[in-house]
Amino acid sequence: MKKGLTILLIALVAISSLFAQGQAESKATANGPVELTFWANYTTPERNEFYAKCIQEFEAENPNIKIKITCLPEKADTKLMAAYEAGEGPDIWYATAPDVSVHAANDFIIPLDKYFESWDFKDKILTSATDAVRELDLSGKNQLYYVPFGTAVSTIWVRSDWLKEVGYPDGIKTWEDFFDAAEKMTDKPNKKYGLSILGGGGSAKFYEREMYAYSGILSLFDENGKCTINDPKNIEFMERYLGLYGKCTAEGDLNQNWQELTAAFDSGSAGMIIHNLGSASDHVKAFNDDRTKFAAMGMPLNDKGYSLNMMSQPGGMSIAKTCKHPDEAWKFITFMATGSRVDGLDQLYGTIPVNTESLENSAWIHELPWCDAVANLLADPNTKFFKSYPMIPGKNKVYTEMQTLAQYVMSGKMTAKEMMDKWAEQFQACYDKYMTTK
Amino acid sequence: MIISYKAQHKINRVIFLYFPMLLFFLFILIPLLWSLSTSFRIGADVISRNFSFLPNPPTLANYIYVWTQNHIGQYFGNSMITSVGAVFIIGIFSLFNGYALSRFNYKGKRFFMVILLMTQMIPVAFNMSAIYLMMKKLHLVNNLFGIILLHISSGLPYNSIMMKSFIGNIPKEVDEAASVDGCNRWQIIQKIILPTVRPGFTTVIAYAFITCWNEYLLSYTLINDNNKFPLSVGLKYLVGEYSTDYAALAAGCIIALIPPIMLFAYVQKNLVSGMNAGAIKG
Repeated sequence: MKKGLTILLIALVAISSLFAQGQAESKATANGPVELTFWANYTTPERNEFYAKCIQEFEAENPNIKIKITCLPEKADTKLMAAYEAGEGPDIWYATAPDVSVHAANDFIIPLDKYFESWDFKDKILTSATDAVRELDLSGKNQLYYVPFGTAVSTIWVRSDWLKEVGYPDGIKTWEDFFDAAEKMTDKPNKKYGLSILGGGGSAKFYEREMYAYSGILSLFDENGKCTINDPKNIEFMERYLGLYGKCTAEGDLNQNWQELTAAFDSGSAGMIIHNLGSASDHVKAFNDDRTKFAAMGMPLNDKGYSLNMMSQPGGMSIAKTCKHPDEAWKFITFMATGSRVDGLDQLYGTIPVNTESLENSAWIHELPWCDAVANLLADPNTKFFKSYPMIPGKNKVYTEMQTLAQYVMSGKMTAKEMMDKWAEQFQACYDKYMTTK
Repeated sequence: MIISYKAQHKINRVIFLYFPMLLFFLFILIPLLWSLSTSFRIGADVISRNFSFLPNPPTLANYIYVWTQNHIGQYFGNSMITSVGAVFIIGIFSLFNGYALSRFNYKGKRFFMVILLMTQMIPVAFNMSAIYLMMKKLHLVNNLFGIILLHISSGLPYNSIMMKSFIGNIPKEVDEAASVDGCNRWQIIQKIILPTVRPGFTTVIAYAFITCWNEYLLSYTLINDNNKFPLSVGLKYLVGEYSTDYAALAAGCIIALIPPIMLFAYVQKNLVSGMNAGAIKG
C-alpha cells in the first residue's frame, strides 16, 4: 500500500514537471530580438488569420522585434485586469473599446502623447476621434492613452425595397421621414413591422444617441453642468419612439437583445433597425448581398438641419506600464494604425477608420455602400458629434436602470417624462460626484 | 361505460406519466434538433422566416469551417486533456475523502466539512486576481496542468461530499464483516465499497467531467496561448462583437456535445446496476 502510494506520488510530480512551463515575458537577450506580447479582443478565425499576416509583415520589416499574439474571442476585462494586477499584462492591448479610464487610473498603461506628437501621421487622425480618447482620462490632463483605429458609428439599417414601396425610393432623410416610414411599412397581419427596437441589454445607450440626434443638443451637460437629457425635445423623441412599440414593432422587442434585433431585420420581420456597421456581415449573408434590399445610413437630419452622431469610443492599442520596450511597442502600433493594416482591421471589425487617408482613398469603403455612407458622414464638416461624457463613473449602472424604465414606458406603466426626469437626476448625481472628486 | 381496473390503470399511466414525459422529452430534444439542423444550413437559410427543420440546401461547410479555420480539433484535444486529467484525480480523491468523512471520526471533522461547503459558496470570479497571482508564483499561468489543478481544487470538495453521502448509505457493519474476513482498509474500499457505490461513483465522475468540460472563466483568464484554449473558449471565436455565425456555432456545439453524450450513454448503464444484498452474515 505504502509502496503504491509512493509510486503514485512520484509519478504525479514527474508528470507535473513535464507539463510545467513558465510564461514567456517580454525580453531581449544581449544580441537577440525584442519580444513583445500583444493581446487583441473580439477576434474570430478571420481576424486571427489577419493578425498573423500583419505580424509576419511587421517582423519581416523589423527582424529585431518579435510579436507574440494572443487572440481573445471576446471582451477580456476580467482577464486583463487580473493579468495587470499580477504584473503580467500584455505589452500591447488592442480592444474595440478599451476600458482606458480604469487602466489609466490604476496606472497600468502609459500615456502616448510624447509618441503621438512626434508621429508624422498624427494630422491624418480625426480630431473628434482623439478627443473621444482624451475624454477618457479621468485625471483631467486630457492625455492620449491609445491611438484610435476605427469607430462604430450608430447606423440605421433599412429595407430599401420596403422604403421604395412606401414612397421613400431615396431612403429617409429626416426624423419625420423615419417615423412616417415606420408606420407605413408596418403590416401586422403579415408580421411585418416598420421598426424593431432594441429593448433589452444595451438599449439605454442607443436611446441616448437617438434622442440627441433628434433634438440636436450637442452635449449631455450644458455649460453650467446641468444635465440636458430631460430636455423637452428629448422627451418628445422618447414619447414618439417608444410609442411605436406594439404599433409598429413586434411585442417581443420589449426585451430584445442585439442578436435578436439583427435577426429581426435579417429574417424580414423589421423594416428598420438602429444598430452599427458591425452587423453588416450578417445582413450580407441574410440577403445574399442583394443591395437593392438593404442599406445603411447615419442619423437622420433633425429640426436644426444637421445630423448629430455620437463618436462611439474608438478601438485602439495601448501600451502597458510594465512594457520594457515601449519604443518598439509604439513602432508596432503605428504599423498597425496605418495603411492596409488599419483598413483590414476596420473592415474585419465592422468599424470605420478615423484617419482621413483611409476615409478618402480606401477602395473597400467606397465599394460598400453602408461604409461609404458612414465615411461620408464622418468626413462631412456639417456632421456634428454629441459629447456624451463616457468617463463619468456610475453611468453604466444608470443605463441598466433606464433600460428597465424604458420597458415600463413601452408597456404603459410609466410616462416618458417620468423616466427622463429620473434619468437626468441620476446622471446629474454622477456628474456632480465626478466633478467634486476630480 | 365500465372500464376495467387494468384499462383505467393504463389510461392513468398514459395521462400522468407518459404524456408529461413526452412533453419534457420534446422540451429537451427540440432545441438540440434545431441546433443540429442549423449546423447543416448556410447563408440566408440560417435566419429564414420559412420554418423548416430540414436545411435547404444541407451542407457540411460549417463543420469543415470550424475544423479547419477555427481549429476546433486543437481545442477539443485541450478540453480532453484537462477534463480527463482532472476527473481522474477527482474520482480517486473524492472516493477516499468520502470514505474518510463517512467512516472516521476525528477532531476537526465538522470544521473540515464546513470548509468544504464554504468553498462552494464563493464564486470563482470573486477570486480571479488572487488565483492569477497564485498561479503566477507557481509558474502555472498559461499551462494546462495549472488548469487541471484548478479543476481539481474546485471539483473535489463538492464531489467528496457527494461520495460521503453515497458511502454513508452502506452500513458500517459491511466494513466490519469484510474486516473479519481479513480485508485491510484498501481492500475494503476496493472490493466492497467501490462496487457497491458504483452508481454514485459514476454520477460523481459524470458530474465532474461535465463541469470541467464546460468550464470557461478559469481557462480564459489563465491561458494566454490560443493553442491551449479549451473547447468552451474556442467556440467563442464564432461569436463576434456585433455578429454571430450561428451555423458554424451550431456545428461547433454539436461537436462539443459528443463526449458528454457518449459519457452519459455509458454512465446510464452503470446507474441502473443494483447493490448486493446479504453481505452481512449472522
